[in-house]
Amino acid sequence: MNGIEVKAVSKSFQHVKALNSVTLTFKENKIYGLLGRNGAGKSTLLNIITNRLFSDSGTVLVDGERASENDTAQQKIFLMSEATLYPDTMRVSDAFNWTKEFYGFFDSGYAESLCKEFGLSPKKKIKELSTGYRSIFKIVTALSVNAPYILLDEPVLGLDANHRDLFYKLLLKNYADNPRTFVISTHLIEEVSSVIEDIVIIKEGEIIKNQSCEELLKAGYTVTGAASDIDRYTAGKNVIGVDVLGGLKSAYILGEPDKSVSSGSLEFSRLDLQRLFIQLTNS
Amino acid sequence: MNLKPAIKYQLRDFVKGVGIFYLVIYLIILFLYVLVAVQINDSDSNISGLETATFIFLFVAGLNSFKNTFKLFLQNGLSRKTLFVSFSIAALAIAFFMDVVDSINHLLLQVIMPSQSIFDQIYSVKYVSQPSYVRFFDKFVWFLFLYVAMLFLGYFVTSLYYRMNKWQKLAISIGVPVFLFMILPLIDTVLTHGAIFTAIQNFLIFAMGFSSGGINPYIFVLTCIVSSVIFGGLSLLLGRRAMIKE
Repeated sequence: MNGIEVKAVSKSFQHVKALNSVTLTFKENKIYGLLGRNGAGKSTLLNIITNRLFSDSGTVLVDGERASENDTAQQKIFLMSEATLYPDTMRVSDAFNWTKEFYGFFDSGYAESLCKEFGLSPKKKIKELSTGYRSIFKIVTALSVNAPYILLDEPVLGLDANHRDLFYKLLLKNYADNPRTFVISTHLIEEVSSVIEDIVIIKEGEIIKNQSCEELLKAGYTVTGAASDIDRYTAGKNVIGVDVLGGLKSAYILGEPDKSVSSGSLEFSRLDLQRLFIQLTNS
Repeated sequence: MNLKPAIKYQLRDFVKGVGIFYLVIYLIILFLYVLVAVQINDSDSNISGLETATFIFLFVAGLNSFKNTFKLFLQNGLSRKTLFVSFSIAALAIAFFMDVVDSINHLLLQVIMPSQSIFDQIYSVKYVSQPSYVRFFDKFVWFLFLYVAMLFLGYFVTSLYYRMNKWQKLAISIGVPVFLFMILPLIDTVLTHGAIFTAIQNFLIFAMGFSSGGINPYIFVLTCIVSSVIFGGLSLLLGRRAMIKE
C-alpha cells in the first residue's frame, strides 16, 4: 500500500486558481486534518482525489494506481462530502443497501447500530432529513463502509454539540478497531485537534504545512504576560502573531522558549492549534 | 469496471417507472374497452398504436437517466465509463423487456378488439402474402431498435443539458425550436422554394424503409442503430468530462 499520492495537481475555475501544483501523500492508517480557510481548495482537492472533478494537470494515485476514472482505485476511497449526492427520494436504508452493493465491505449491522446511537431513522427519505441528520446519515455511511481511505469533508456540519462529541468518540473507536486512513477537512480546528495525528494546511491552493500535529505544535510556543515584558522578550524572535487584552499580551513564537530571560510575569505554554492556524493562514 | 451492481442499479431505477407505465396503459385499455363495449357499442372500434406511448415513455426515461445516477455512482466510486456501459446494457435489457410485453399486450388486445401496431399500419402492404411469424419477428426487431434509439436520444439530451451552463441551456431551448419551426420554414419558403422540406421528407421516407426498390423495415432498423450509435457516442463524449456541480 502506498497511500493516496497527489502529484503536482493544479486546478482552476475560470480565472481562479483553486489548487496550484499540490503534492502530498496521505499515508495508510493515519488520521489527517486537512485545514484551510474558506475557498482554500480543500474540497477541490478531495473532489479531484475521488474523481468528481478533473484536475487541469498532475496525477493522483491510490496505492500506486491512477485514481481518475478507475473503479478499482475508487473502490478504496469513500468521500463524505458537504453535497448530498444520493437521490432525495431514496430512503436511508436503501442508501445503505446500495452502498453495500457498490462497496462489498459495507457493514450493515454496524450502520444499524450507529443509526440507533444517533437517533437516525433508516426508514426516512433523504429529503426528509434536516441538515444535521443529513450529516449523520453520511457519517454513518462513511464509518460503515470499511474502505481503506475515508475522506470526510466538513463532517460535523449542522451537528449539535452532543452529536459532534459522539462522532469524535465513534471515529476514534472505529479507527482503533479498524485502523485505516481518515482525512478530516473541517473549520472546527479546536474540536478536531485532539483527534488528528497529521496536519495538512492549505492556503490559496498551496500546501503550507504538512507534518505531524505534535511536531507542528512543538515548533513554537505561546508566551503570555505584561505587554512591556512580552515586547522585551519577543525582540529579535520569530513572532507569528500577538493578541492583546488590556495590559496582557500573548505572543505566538516559532522556536524554543528562552526561559533564561527571567521575568515573573511571563508564562509559557504550548501553541494552540487554532491560534497557529489563524496566524499561518492570515493573509 | 464494477459493472454488476451498476447494471443492477440502472435496471432497478427503470423498474418502478415501467411498472407505473404499464399500470396506466392497462387502465387506459380497460377504460377504452368499457367505453366501446358499453357506451358506444361500435363493432368497428379498435385500439391501435399503443407502442407510441412506449417509445415516448422510453425517451422520457432516457431523459431521467443521467443526473441522479451520475451523482450516486461518483459517490460510490464508479467511473463515468461504468455509468455509460451500465446504462447501455440496461437500456438494451429494458427495451427488450418492453418489446416483449408490448408484443404480448398486442396479441391479448387482438382477442378483445381489433388492434394494429404502428408497424402494421406502416408496413402492412409488405406482409400481405407473408406468414404471420415473419411479420411478428420483423415487428419485434423493428420496435426493439426504435426503443433503444429513443432511450439513447433521451440520454443524449439530458447529458447535453447537464454539461451546458444556464445561458447555453436557454440558447438551445429557445434556439432549436425557433430554428426548426420558424427560421427553417421561412428559408425554405423564401429562398429554396420547398427544396429543404422535400429533401427532409425524402430522407425520412427512405429512413423508414420506403424506396423505389420496395419496402424494407430493416432500413428503419438500421436508421435506429445508426441513431443509437451517434447519440450513445455523443453521450459518452459528453459524460466523459462531466463533473459534479455542487
